[in-house]
Amino acid sequence: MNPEKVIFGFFILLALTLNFGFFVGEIDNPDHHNAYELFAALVVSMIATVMKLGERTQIGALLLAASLVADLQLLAASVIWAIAAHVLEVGLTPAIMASIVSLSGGALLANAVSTLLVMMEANRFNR
Amino acid sequence: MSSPLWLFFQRMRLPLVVLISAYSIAILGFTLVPGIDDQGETWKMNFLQALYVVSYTGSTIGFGEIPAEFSEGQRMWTIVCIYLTVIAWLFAIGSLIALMQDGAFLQAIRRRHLVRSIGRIDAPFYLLCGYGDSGRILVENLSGRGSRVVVIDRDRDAIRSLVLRDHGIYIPGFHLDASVPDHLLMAGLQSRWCVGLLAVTGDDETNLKIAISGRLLNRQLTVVGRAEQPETASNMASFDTGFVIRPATEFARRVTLAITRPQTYRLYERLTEAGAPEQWEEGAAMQGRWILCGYGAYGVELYRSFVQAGIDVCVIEDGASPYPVPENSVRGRSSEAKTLKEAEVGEAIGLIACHASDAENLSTIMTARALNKELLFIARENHLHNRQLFAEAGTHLASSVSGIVASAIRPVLEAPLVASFIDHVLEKEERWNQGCLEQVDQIAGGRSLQFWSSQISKNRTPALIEALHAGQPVTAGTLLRNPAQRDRGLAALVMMIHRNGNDFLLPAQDMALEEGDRVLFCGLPEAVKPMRFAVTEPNLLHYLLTGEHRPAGWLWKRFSDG
Repeated sequence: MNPEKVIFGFFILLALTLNFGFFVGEIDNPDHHNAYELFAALVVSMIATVMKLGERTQIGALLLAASLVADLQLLAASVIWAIAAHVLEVGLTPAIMASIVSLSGGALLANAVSTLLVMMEANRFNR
Repeated sequence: MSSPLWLFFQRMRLPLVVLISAYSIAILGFTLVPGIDDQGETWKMNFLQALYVVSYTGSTIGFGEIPAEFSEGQRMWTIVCIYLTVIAWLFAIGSLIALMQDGAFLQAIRRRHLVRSIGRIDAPFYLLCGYGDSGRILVENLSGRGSRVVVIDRDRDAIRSLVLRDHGIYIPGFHLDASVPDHLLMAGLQSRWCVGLLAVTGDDETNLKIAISGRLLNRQLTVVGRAEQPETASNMASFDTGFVIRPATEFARRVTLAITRPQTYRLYERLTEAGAPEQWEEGAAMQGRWILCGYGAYGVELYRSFVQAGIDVCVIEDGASPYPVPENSVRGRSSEAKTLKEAEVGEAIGLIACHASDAENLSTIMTARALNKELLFIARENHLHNRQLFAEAGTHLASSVSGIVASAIRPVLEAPLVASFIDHVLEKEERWNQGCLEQVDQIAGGRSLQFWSSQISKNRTPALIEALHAGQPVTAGTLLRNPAQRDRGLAALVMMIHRNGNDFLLPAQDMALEEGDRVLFCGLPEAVKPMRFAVTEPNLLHYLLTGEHRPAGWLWKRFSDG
């Protein structure tokens, strides 16, 4: 058992699960989507990206790309939340909430792809 | 990912994770710790405010407590934040600095930079392996002529001294082992601009390996190899190495020439510039007995050469020679007076010190000088940095090994006709060579010579061909006129014309040139360009032939015709 691989897999799955946790619920209902969970999803996603840096393989490059995509979308969601709630003070209307959640949905897909790639790689080496 | 970038990311993973974690813990804390506003109500920061506060706290800017004065709880959390983030930054920056100083990282960057600079070369270049004394001389010669060079050497100090010298042209230097083919490839062996591979390291095995690699990996290269042992030399020649130089045979040839035909030697030395001018008086007595000290590879070649030339020679060897020693040789150390006396140094005319150690050679000369001041001293100089010592010891001819190697290689790279020209020169008699030397000195003074050659053909010399086809005779002397002012001559000589298998050396000024001739010139470097212009620009050639300036531009032509 390789501690490095354990940690790597841990962070990738954590990113996926936190992201999913934020995503589920009615898309325009602010009560169903917790800001802390978005924060956690973003932080863990960034950490997961850093862990994928410096990979030389083809699959490593794809992993890094997927991670960067997820980061980007989660960051966009956070920025929209911050601007809507604090800068412009329009509050979290259903429309804005829907935008935030749909962006996190995109990030969810990217994280899912990451996880899939990791599973494929693990499967390949298992043989 | 390329090597240095990959190393960078690898090392910075942990610091980056630590940084992100520190910041996120700090931000999270600020959104949770309650503050108390002036009405006594609790409030909590939102994420944007928390991010703002942590940002200017972590970067040690510190604006102020927003949106309201902090409660004690918030201030306590601020303390935690400060230490957490600042330490995380120190860790990250410290790792970065350690990475920048890491030897492997720096070397990866340097090597990538070098390989990139090789890729950017867009002119023919020579790949030189071995930056010792001969390598240094060759690099100076080649870069002085404007050719690009790439150097590989296994010794770090050698590459450092290359980098520190100013050659005017950028010379990439690789600190690599040249006997590994991958390293040669990295240095640009298979680049389309690589025209020559020079294997001049101090080790025969390495040179052999380099020559083989060159032959196999790039068939269009000129491969030049240096070989000390005869086996290596014949090995190199067997797989068709372009040019193999054996310093021992060249040394023997030079010394024999200097003794038996001094005028020829003078010309030979002037043309090849091996840095070994002889310094005895002209017309000094050369006939007599010579004492040869040192019977290694060089000594044995010299002995053979002397015997063939009919020179009376006595060998002193110290018993360690791997070669069979001639009968009347003296056994002992040549630096000891008693050995020299046994060899009758008092009656000899000259002494040659050709040990592999400069110290031994110098000691021999000094001891012998004390016994017989009239001796002529010839020495094999192994390292250039001992030059001054040999001069002070009164050596009349210090033939440096590296100088020999470099001077033998240079003509091969400069112009293909030089080798056969020099062969002819060595066969000519003394008077002719003396005259040739006088001509050379007249046009070049003491300055360094350059050889260049040209073929009279449509591609290389279109203007000449045009003139010849028009029935106008062009002589050798025409080309030596200065295109700027035809009464003045260029600092050049026509050394040889090769026509239909015949060679005409130092042709007369009025010898007519024909299509297909290959002409070898020799002169100062500044004469090359004007001559090239003269044979490619019809109007310049016309001026040289007739003295008239023909109008060149379209407008002028119309005016002069109409």
